Amino acid sequence: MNASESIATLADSSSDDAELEKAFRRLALAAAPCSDFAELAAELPAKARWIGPGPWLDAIRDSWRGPAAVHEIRR
Amino acid sequence: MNHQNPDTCIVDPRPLLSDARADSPLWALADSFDAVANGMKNPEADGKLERIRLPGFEPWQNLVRAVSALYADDTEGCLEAAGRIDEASPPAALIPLFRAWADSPEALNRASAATALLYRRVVSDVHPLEILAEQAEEALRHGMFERFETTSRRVLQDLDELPRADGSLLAIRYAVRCLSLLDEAGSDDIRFMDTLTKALGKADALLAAGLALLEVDGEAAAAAFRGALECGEDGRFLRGPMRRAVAEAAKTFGAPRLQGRVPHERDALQLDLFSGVFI
Repeated sequence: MNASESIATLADSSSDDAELEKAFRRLALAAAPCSDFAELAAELPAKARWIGPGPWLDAIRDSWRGPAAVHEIRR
Repeated sequence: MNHQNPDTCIVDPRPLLSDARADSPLWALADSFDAVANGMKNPEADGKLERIRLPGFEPWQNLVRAVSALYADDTEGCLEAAGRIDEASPPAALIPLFRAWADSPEALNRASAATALLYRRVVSDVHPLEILAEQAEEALRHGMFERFETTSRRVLQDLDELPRADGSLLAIRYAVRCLSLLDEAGSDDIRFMDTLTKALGKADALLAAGLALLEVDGEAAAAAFRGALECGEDGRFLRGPMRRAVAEAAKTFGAPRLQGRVPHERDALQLDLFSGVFI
C-alpha cells in the first residue's frame, strides 16, 4: 500500500465527518505518486502567452461579417 | 443584444490611425491595446481610453479589460468584461475565446475559424511551468544541484501561487516528486529542505517531507507531520481542516503498530536528506 492509499484508508474511516474526510482525500491526493511532471501539468490551467496586438486584431477583422468601419470615427 | 450601430463600429483600428489626429481617441485605444497584448501597462493610454464615451468604443474598452484579465489569470474579471462586449460588435467575435480559456474549450465550437486559430496561438500547449520543471530535472540529471534547487524553487512558488487551480496541492505534489527525484539521484549532498522552506513555508515543507517519508518510515513521517503542525499556518496547504487531518495522520502513522515494517535501502539516504528537519 503506498502513502496515498494509506491516507485514503483514513478518509474511509472518517466518512461520518465530511470536512475531515474531504481533508484526508486532499491529503491522499497530495501524497499520490507522480512519475512525471506531465501528470501535474494536466492539472494546470491554460496559460495565455503574449503575442502582440496583431493576431488579436486580425481575428476580429477576419471574423467580422458586417459593414466596414466608417470614417467619422477617425476624428 | 444589438446596440451596435454599424455606421460607427470599429472593425479594425489600425487602418483608421493613418488619418487620426494626435489627440484622437483611436490612439488611446491602439496604445492601450498594444500594451495589454504585449504584457505591459500604458497608464496614460488606459486612463484616456477609460474616459472615452463615444459610439463604437465601448466594446473595445471591454475587450481591453478582458484581454488584460486573461493575461492576469483573472478568470472572473475576464468573463465579466467579455460578457459586457456588445454581441453585435466586431470584438464580440472573441467572446468564445475568453469563455474557452476561462471555462471550457468547448466554447470554441461557437467561434469563427479566425478566433479558433487565435485561441491556439494565445493559449500555450505546454505550460511554462512544465518547461521549467523539465529544466530542473535536466539539471539534476547532470548533477547541477544548485541549478536544480533554483529552478525547482521557482516551480514550487509559481505552483503555490497559481490563481486558477488548487496550487498549494500541486506544489506539495511537486515537492514530494522533487524529494523522490533527489532520493533516486542519491543526492545526499544537498539540503533541499531549505529550498522547500523558502518556497512553501516551513509547515508545508515539513508536510511534504512527511508524505515523502511515509512509505519508508512511518515514525519519521509522523514526526515531520507533528513538526509541520507546530509551525502554525505559514503555508498555504496546511491550514484549516487540513490541520485536523494531518494531526490524525501523525497519530496513526506514528503509532507503534505501524512501525514494524521491513527496512528499506533508501531509509538511510532519506533520513540524511531530512536531517535537521524535525528541530
